[in-house]
Amino acid sequence: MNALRLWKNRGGAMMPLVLTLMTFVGGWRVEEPSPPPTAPPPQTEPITPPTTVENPAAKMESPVVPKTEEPAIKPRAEVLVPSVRELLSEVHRSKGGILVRAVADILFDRLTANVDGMGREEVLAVVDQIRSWPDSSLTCVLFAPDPEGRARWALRVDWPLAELFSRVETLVGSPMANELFQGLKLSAKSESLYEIALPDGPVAYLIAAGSTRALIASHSDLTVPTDVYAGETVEGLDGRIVAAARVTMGATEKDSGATFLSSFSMVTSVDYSGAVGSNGEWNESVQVRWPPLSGMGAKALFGRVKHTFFVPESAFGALALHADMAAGLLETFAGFGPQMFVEDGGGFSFVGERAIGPIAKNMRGEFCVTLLPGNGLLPMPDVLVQTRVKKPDGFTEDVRAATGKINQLFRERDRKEPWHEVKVRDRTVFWRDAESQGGMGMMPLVLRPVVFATQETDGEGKEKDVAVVAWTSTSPESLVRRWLDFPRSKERRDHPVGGKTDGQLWVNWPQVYRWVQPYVGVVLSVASVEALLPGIEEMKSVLTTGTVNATLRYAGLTVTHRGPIPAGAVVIPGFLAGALGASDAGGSDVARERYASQRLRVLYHHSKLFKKDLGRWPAEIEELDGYVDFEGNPGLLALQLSAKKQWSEWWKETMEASKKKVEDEIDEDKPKLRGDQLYVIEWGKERWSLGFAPTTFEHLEKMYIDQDGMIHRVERKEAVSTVGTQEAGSAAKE
Amino acid sequence: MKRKLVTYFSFAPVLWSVVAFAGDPMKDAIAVLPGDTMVCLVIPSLKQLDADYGAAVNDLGLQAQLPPPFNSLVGILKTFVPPFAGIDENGSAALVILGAESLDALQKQQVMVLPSADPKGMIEKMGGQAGEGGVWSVNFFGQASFAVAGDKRVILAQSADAAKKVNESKGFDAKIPANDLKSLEGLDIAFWVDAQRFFKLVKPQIDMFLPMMLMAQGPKQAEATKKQIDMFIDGSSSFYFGISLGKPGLDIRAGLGTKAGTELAKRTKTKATTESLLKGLPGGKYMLTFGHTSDPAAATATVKDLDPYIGMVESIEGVAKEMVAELRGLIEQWAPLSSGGRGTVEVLSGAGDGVFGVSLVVDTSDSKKWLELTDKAIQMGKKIVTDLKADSPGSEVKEIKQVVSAVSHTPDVEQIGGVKVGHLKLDLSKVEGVDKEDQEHLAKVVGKEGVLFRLAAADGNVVAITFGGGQNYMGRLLESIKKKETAMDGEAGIKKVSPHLPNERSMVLYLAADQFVAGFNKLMAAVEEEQLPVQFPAMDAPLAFSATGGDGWSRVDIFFPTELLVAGKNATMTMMGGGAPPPPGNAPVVPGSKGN
Repeated sequence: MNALRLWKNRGGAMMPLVLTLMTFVGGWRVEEPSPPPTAPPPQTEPITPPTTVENPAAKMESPVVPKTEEPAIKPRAEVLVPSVRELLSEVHRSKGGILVRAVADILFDRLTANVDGMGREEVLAVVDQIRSWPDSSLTCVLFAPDPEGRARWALRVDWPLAELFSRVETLVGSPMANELFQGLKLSAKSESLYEIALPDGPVAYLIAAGSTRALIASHSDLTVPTDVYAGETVEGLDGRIVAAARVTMGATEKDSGATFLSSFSMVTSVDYSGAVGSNGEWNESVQVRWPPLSGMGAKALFGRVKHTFFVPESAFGALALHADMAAGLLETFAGFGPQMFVEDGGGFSFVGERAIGPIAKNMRGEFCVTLLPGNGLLPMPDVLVQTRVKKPDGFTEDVRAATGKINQLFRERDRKEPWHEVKVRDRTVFWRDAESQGGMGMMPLVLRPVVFATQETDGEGKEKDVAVVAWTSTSPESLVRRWLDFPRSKERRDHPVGGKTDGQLWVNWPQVYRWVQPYVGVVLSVASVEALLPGIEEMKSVLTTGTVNATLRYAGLTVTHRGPIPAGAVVIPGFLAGALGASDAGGSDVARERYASQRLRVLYHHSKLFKKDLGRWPAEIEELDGYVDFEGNPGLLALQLSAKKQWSEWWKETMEASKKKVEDEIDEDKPKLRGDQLYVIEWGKERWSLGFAPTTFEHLEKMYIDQDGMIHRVERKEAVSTVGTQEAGSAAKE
Repeated sequence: MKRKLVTYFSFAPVLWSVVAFAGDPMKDAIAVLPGDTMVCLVIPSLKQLDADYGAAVNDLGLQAQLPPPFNSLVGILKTFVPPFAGIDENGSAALVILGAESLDALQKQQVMVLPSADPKGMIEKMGGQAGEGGVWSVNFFGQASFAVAGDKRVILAQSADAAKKVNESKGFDAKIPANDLKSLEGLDIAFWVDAQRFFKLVKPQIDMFLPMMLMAQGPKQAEATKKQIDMFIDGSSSFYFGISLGKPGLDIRAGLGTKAGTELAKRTKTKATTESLLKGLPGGKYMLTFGHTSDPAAATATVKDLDPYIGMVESIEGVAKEMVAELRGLIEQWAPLSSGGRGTVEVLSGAGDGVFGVSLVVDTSDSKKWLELTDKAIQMGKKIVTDLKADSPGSEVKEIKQVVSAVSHTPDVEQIGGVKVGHLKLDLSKVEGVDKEDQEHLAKVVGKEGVLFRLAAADGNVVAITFGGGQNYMGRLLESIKKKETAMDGEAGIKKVSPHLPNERSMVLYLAADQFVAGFNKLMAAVEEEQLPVQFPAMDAPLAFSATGGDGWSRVDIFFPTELLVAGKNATMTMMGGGAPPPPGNAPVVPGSKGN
């Protein structure tokens, strides 16, 4: 029944994800489909399509005033797979296919072995059913939750409704479905609408989308927009797009109370397109779109990487960026700036000036982070950050002065000096012993900052001065020697490659795989004793290196990826999870209505308890104090206002600051209506209702819950003036 | 006290944020203020202000962002400030601070003057209680205050004496300096301060906090800053700030009155004229064009401002002090030679000319001497830098020396239109650290001639200077100087905005935003960077800046034409709006994407 609850609540939106995953895991076969069933869908139910999902438990729909028309909504997330079979075929063809297959097999074994109360055969039977389905595109859209807080999603396939019905019917009737969802039923609501329901309510609908396509959707009135993001090719990447996704960060719901500023979104959407190139590498792009203002801000923070840095071929990977703010971060991570001292009593304090230190003073914006394989029992990778410096001598002097000051602070407190200065091959090397601060005894390993200046020849053969800030879990001196000993042959890697870039990441997948394969193997063996990832020798021929390149523009950021491992396997689920997680408390009509519904339900529940005790309904909201813990739940007496109302409330409160004392405000961050202004109780012997004050919503004249627990809404006929008295109509008594 | 000040001044943003163009009711509004006024904020006509604010909201297309009552200032006041419900929008309003003996006494000297057709009724609506001598006690925003029903106005104050004083005493128009009064005419909102009385009150606080504020600066720099502040405090007699908006645009005005004989008076002395300040400049599209007169005595006085910096140079190891003194002497001779100048920066269109062209014209008493002294100063500056020692780690001296050694000045190196022309050049190939890509970009920006200024004595009193555009560009400027060209004054945009500036000017500057954006985009293209995603439409509506003044007074105006404001607002909306359309690509058409 936990699965049932998950389904009924927000997790219901996971259905398309689960289905998509199943197609991936089960390996939807690439053979020709079996002939589609021709039998028409049964019509045993009345042909009166519902417009919204009923929630019998809550009885939220008003019998008197119909619910207002659904505000225009746009999907928060869109995922499109043009052809499932092509996707699977391309995954198999890709260089990382062997790895994907291995992981999929392990997961599939694990999945089929762990379905409670069912035999593996039963599960396999269902999977075989799915495998026999004909090819289709898959379009999945996630919308914001509805006014009652229920997830809204839709999944479209290229099958006529009759075929979809037939296939779902087979699944619903399977022993596996009966075991997982007891009482799951599929029934016709009209010629173009079927309902999948559990005993306490519908969970999804099958809806015709023209004559050749159909939807599985959470609500019977949902449609899939005509302009679902279909992906786009980016210069330098080839292959036919096999998956595309978009997550919309800007407004997706109608907001009658929006202002110019509140409508501004730093990022409007993030788009993903994935293809497998002719050489079997994944060619993917992520396009972050934003208003030009955001682009200007981004360009102020990040610049173009114009120079190259030496990166050993044996490195796990390297990242080249140009970010002026990085200097401060590097300085902090390297242990400069104010020093933390653990006090005898167990507390800690920071001592020292916060000033520009040796790294920030000498570093240019460009830098390259390199991850090197580590040594020792726990081979923690070593991290090196290279940056060009104009004056290596000045840099060394500055580091010496800064480390000297820090050492003095430690000496003054009878602590061991943390910074050490040594010579390695005529280079002055500074390294910090993290143990000097105390409190590090229980750490399994310690990363020691190492700082030194050296010279490297760049891609054009010119010698350039470079400052290196590194962290190692082993000997700092060994790290420096190791770095200097890396072969710098003509075949060396000068990172970034390929000319202009606003940031480039290089991942040496063979090296990474060599490092993680034993550990992952151990972990996977817990799932399945037979689980084995391919050996490094087997992977050598297919596992190439990967490159992620960033191009920053006023209109957005384009990130391209070329490599053996599909980033989309992480990006697309990330998009869907992000879309599910977004709440937008005050950002749209529906969101405010949703929060308002929750408050009405809670207060109604406690009002019933009040009536049970006192034999009457509460006449004022304050009477519920004691039944409701208002102090512990101040949000019940407040509602996040629309941006327009926040603005007008701010004005009002500023002007009337002397009238209303701040002490009775619940949250000073944003203007909110107080409880006595927010609620209106209409009270009588026979009739009772608890609702919101008339000017609470931009789009609703009224919203209230009656004595039977039904929520009523009255649509606002004309746009309400954003300003007006919001005097407390605390209780209009009969 | 803090809270009361906040209460009173909370209205200031409302008043300041709006603008309108009125006729000339400012004098009348000032006339009814008491002669003891030390600081005042005056709105001469609420009705005019309101009407023009509403018009500005419409002109800028801000109706959606500022729905009623935010599209009306009077509407805002009447809606949100119940005590102001009875104000008469046909009248003037003011916030006055009367003279006080100490900073602590200031609170009691604040007075608000509100127009009302029924002053007594308005006070009663505020819940006023009648007291002795016609002074009412009122609770104004929770503060115990006093009100007096005056002639079509309500006077609110923190003390009964102040309220009575403002009601009974008038004639501030006779006390305020005549130049200030004249400059305040036409403003919709004006803020005026009697600097001497005001600074007398706050000077102890300034003296207390200034050293702490200057601690971050070096001692020489801190000393220079303190001198500047002291000069302003000692020399200013009044200052003001005001705004006016009409159909043509927004005018922001500021002014300063100075005490005769003070250093500040010398420095700010200007020579205003009704004659063209752009004479001799070739016409055509411009990014920026300007012209100014200068007072030789003021120029000489300004050289003193260099002393702290000269002191800093002298303190550098290896700098010969006698050479620095010689350089200072050269500058002292050079500065008063100039009696004015003008110039234009424009976007060039010729291939290889570079992105920008600069034309400068300097009026001198002796152009040959001006050029000679310029040459001497350059050579002296080079020698001072060349002699510097560069042995300390991390020192920038080596780079500075490298750059300076790459600078060369060769007088009379060519002839253009019969005029001998000299070259002031920076040879970038001699500067290390400018990599190949940067050099290529720079070549596109500055043109094939590199960083080269041409200098010539156009005649005995005029020096011509150009940057970019090659020989022809200098030839065009010399020709224009010869003809005493006034084409720039006839440019459509300048012709349109010029009448909104004072007739007599000592300085004028016009900035064409559309050309500025075009130039910036051309620059970005030259350095292979992305161009701005917004464009200003071609328009004849430059941002205008002017200065004027005379003995003991000076004034500056910044005028934003309405077209420019609208274009700026549209550009902002574009910048904040949705992202630009996706980049062109071969986006596949997926059958499944066409929806149900």
